[in-house]
Amino acid sequence: MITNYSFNKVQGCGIGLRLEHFEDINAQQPKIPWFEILSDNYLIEGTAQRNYLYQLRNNYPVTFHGVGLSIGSTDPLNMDYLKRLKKLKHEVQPAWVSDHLCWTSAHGIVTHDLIPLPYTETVVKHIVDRIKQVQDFLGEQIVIENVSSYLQFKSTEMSEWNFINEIIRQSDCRLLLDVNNIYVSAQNHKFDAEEYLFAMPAERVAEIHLAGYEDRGTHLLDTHSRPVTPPVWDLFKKAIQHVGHVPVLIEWDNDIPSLERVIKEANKAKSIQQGVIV
Amino acid sequence: MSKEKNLVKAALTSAMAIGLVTVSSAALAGKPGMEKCMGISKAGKNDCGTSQHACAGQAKEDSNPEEWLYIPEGTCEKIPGGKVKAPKKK
Amino acid sequence: MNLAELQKDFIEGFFTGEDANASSHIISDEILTAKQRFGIYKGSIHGILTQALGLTFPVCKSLVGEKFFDKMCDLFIDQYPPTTSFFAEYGNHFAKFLSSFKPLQHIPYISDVARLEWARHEVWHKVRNQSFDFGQLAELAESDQANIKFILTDTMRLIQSNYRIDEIWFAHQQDSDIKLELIEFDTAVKLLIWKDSKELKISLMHTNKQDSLFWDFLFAISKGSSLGDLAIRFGENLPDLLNQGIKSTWIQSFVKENLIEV
Repeated sequence: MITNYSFNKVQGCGIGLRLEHFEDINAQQPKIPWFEILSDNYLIEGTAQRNYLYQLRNNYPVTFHGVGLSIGSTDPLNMDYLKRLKKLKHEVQPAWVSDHLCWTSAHGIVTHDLIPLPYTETVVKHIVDRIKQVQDFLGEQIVIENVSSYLQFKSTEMSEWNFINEIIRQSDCRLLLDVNNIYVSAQNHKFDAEEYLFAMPAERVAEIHLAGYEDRGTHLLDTHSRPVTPPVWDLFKKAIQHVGHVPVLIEWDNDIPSLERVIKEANKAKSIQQGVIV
Repeated sequence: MSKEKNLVKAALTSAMAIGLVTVSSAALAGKPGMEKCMGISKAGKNDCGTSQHACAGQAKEDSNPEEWLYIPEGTCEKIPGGKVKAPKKK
Repeated sequence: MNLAELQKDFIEGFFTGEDANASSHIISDEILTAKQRFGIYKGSIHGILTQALGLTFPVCKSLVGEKFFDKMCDLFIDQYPPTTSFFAEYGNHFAKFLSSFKPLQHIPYISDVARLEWARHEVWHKVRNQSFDFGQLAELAESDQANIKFILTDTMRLIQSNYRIDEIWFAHQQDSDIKLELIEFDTAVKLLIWKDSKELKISLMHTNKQDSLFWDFLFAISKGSSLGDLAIRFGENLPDLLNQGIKSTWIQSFVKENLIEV
């Protein structure tokens, strides 16, 4: 089933699709400019999820956001995963495909979590090679997201923002700028969030992510279980000044509230975005 | 010809007469011999939720292997004869 | 620093108690030690996987209670770390793990409940849309006839238990009128789990002789019995059973013995 969708342009403030909301979305057809889907959930054919996605796609543009690419792994690229992704991309025609700048699997084991990398020249080269391979295979630029982290490696040689800049420049990919992740990591590792933010290559930013974290006392944990916090809204305003009016997305993955509540958060992002003159 | 051989032949004759079997998911409803079918779960959230992947961390303490021996506090306590005895602490 | 070795140390630390090598890569500071920082990730991974197992095995989780389930999953995850990118494929060893899990030996039915939950989960994710022409049976050489084997569809599972796992399962569903207190839990059942266009279903196949025989017939096929074996076992009933098996679509094709596909 291949349809040529007349609309796949993504703009404004969207929300991450969660299956808990699917019935409401279908019944209400809320005014949401686009949905981001967690592509890994839809890579098995013939499932109810697939049908939901096809239905959704009839009414909304979508973007793909994945966890399974494991771009930082030293295992060979998972071609089975990539083939499935390419096929789904062909069917659903997302505006773009994104994943995270980290590793999720290694030595044949899949952690299903986002594990950070040491920031070194060798790792930059390793990742640049892999992003190029993925882009060649998918036939388009991919979008990579900066992750939040709770540890730093002894072997790290450069700042996270230099690491990201080098990878984006050398691999010619785009950036999914997660403002919440910058804030969480800045608090956890005591660096200046604004220095990081303003070092990002503005012209490469495809999308901004916003979410809520949990304060665990000794560190902030990026749980996507809360409303966006005031300091992250502040950083978001500065991000808009830096990168302009790019599409923004609210992620709410744990303790998921009503669809209305998530839409309210997206509308807040929209009004803040519109209030910033760039 | 043995009895089994005759049965095999009879079974095949009946089976080949069915010919082409086309399966679409809709055609699976109303099977012969399934009248007593019970147990319907709404094909909704419960079933789809199993594949939810959130790209977010979980607030769970690092597990301590010494502390896991809890006494179950689940519904199995209600099932007659199915009670769980408290495991002894190591 | 070698990235492959670092990742090996991390994987080892995530799924065993040995996190010294992993921690050796991490900076300690005045707020958290390297070991504690590694522990945040280890806890998060175990939390994510425990959540996934809880969604696949909700009845098992209710049976033992959330706290116990959580701790038990920590052990399971270390013993069977995921090798798949898809949550839908994680948990196939769970029933086996439960059956040998000593603290639960007093709830002997729980691993069968897990098998039922896994069967429902698997069937839910399977798709089927192929056709097969059983007219091809006419082309078999007579010497091959008794040796053919039938292939069952992937969108159906056969489960047998010495316990009333169907009622135990139903009692945990919303709006169920089955009371756990009234279940005669040590009654044997034969179940057929399948999916129609909308729903997952559990059919009871032990309540009359005819259904029970049909279940036995399908089960024998699933265990690799040839048509000749089936003739010996099911005798005069064979033609009707085979006819029913094909018409019900549970039998999806046949193969000549030792060959992959006709």
